[in-house]
Amino acid sequence: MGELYRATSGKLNAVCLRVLGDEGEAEEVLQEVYLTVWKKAGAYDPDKASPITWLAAIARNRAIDRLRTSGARVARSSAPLDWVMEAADPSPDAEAQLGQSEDSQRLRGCLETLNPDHAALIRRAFFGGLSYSELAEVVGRPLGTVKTWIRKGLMNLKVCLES
Amino acid sequence: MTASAAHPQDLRAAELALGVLEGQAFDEARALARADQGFAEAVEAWELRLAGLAEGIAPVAPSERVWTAIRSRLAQAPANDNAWNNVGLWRGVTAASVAVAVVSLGVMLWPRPAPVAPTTPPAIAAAAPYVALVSAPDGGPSLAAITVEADLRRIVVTPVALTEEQARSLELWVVPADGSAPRSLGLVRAGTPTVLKDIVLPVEARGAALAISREPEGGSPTGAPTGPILGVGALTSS
Repeated sequence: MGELYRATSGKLNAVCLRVLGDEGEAEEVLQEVYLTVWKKAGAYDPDKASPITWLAAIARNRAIDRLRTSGARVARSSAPLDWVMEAADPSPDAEAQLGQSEDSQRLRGCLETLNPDHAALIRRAFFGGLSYSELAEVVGRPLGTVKTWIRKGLMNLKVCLES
Repeated sequence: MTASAAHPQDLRAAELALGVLEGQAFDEARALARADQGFAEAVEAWELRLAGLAEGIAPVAPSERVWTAIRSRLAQAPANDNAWNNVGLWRGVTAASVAVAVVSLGVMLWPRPAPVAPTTPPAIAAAAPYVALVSAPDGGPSLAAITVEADLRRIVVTPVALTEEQARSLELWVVPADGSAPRSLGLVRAGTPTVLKDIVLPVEARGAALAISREPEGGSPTGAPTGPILGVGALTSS
């Protein structure tokens, strides 16, 4: 467990921090993530995802759950244009042992093929844990537009990923 | 990433995985994920697709106290916990073999949040009757109105838009809030109200959902929904 932790905790902590925007909360969730990984018997399926992808999905889910429980998500996620920085930072990461999975690189490639507004909203929703109406509020667009953009973005993303 | 036949509700699965659904749409999608294995798999596939986004960000080392806390919590786990058997798998694992370690452990892919502890004892919860409006997915028509009487033992299913065509055999299911498997409550008719008696509902009805599936003549042969889920509705106190 120690090695796994050393190899992945920086990335997973960054995910929790990004979603929660609070170091203390992120670290608590991080604990839960590793305890979950350690305790649960189930079905990690190597055909479905690389380990890091799978761990990142757990971390993100846990962080979003925490965010929802704390009920403060819009306030935290409204830092302006943080997704632009994210988009502009390819961050080929020094912690190269696990690096980024092939799936991740592919996803990022596909996101770049989307309408930038659609891709930005998807990123915003992903890292902010925002619902449709919260997204609409944060980006100042009508709810219908936000739904349409997200749905188009998701469908185009899938087409790209499966092509 | 393997391409497979898309679930008819794939877009909804994507929305649930992304976390943008809210209110009733969220409740219904969660209920569908519990009732329909194919939908749950579609959600999981989307969670994994989207998780690639999280991998793209630069790592931030957590403070030492996180690892200390994890170790101390692991040490407190009961010795007969199955998980202890897996500790060895984690020990001495190098970063390069993380994949192997994770595979060996075999971990639940989609951790559901712990069920919210009931805030009122079941006896009180049971004092109020419950209702559910079972609707077709994606804002489709309401299929049936369902009333659960106060003692949780009698259910009346009033068809709204269930058609004879759908009615090879319509089976009503309760989908417990704790994520456990749907349980059959019985067969219902399409044309006239059905009264189901001597039902045993889960003690904690709040958070549960009711679903109607189409099954072979005489009902599901397996005890779990086998046909398409025609509709789902959250059970709420009236």
